[in-house]
Amino acid sequence: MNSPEPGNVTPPASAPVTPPERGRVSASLLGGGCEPDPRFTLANERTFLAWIRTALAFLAGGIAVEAFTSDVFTPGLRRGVALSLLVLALLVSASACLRWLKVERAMRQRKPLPLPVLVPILSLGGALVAAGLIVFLINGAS
Amino acid sequence: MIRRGHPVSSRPLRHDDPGLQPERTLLAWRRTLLTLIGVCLLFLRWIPPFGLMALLPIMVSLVAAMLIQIGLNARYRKSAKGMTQERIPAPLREVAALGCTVIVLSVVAIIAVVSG
Repeated sequence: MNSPEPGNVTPPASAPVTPPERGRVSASLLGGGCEPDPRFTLANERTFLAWIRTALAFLAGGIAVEAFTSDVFTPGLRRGVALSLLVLALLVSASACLRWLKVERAMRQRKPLPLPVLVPILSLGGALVAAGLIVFLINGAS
Repeated sequence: MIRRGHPVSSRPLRHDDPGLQPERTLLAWRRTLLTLIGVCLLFLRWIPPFGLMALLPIMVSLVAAMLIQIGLNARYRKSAKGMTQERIPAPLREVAALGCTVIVLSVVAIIAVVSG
């Protein structure tokens, strides 16, 4: 305050804040814009973590189907169900990262948030797995 | 030495966010950590049929869980400090690391199932 250096003046909240000690890679990934509200950053982080847990749950389901259902399913079906769950885990985790980045960028640019691509993938994948199981159950009953 | 009374180190832990955002984020990381450990334990069931192929995801998920556990405190501190400073650096590295971990786990599991 009492020093004459201009570097000590804190910018007003609306002005774009100079980027902190951030590497070139992350700077280019995040794009420009100004720092968003920290609450938004944390909320985005939690949403990412929730998607990652969803992916981990799919992964756990795939592992369990492969490990525990050899008495229930035929080998082909078991492999199919396990693989579809594992592929869903892969898709969900990959798009969780991408969505986190997209949301982070949109918040920095003060743009509207992107539509969730994950939701249709997830519901479609879940519906496919459920349909496969229904077919299996009907075939097994007859 | 003098810091043992915690007047210095506990200062950034205080924040006045009524929504308890740092706490919620900390708990979200904890839940993720627990899920990761669960996945790691499930992979143990793959050792008899798959052998070494199952050891890789077990090690990966264990190391990731340990790293998360080690970093929990610092992460909470960072977010609590960020609430008072009104800015939090985007956790790009953490997101990339965790995302890559889960992607690697799924890819290894897919390869194991496909190769039988």
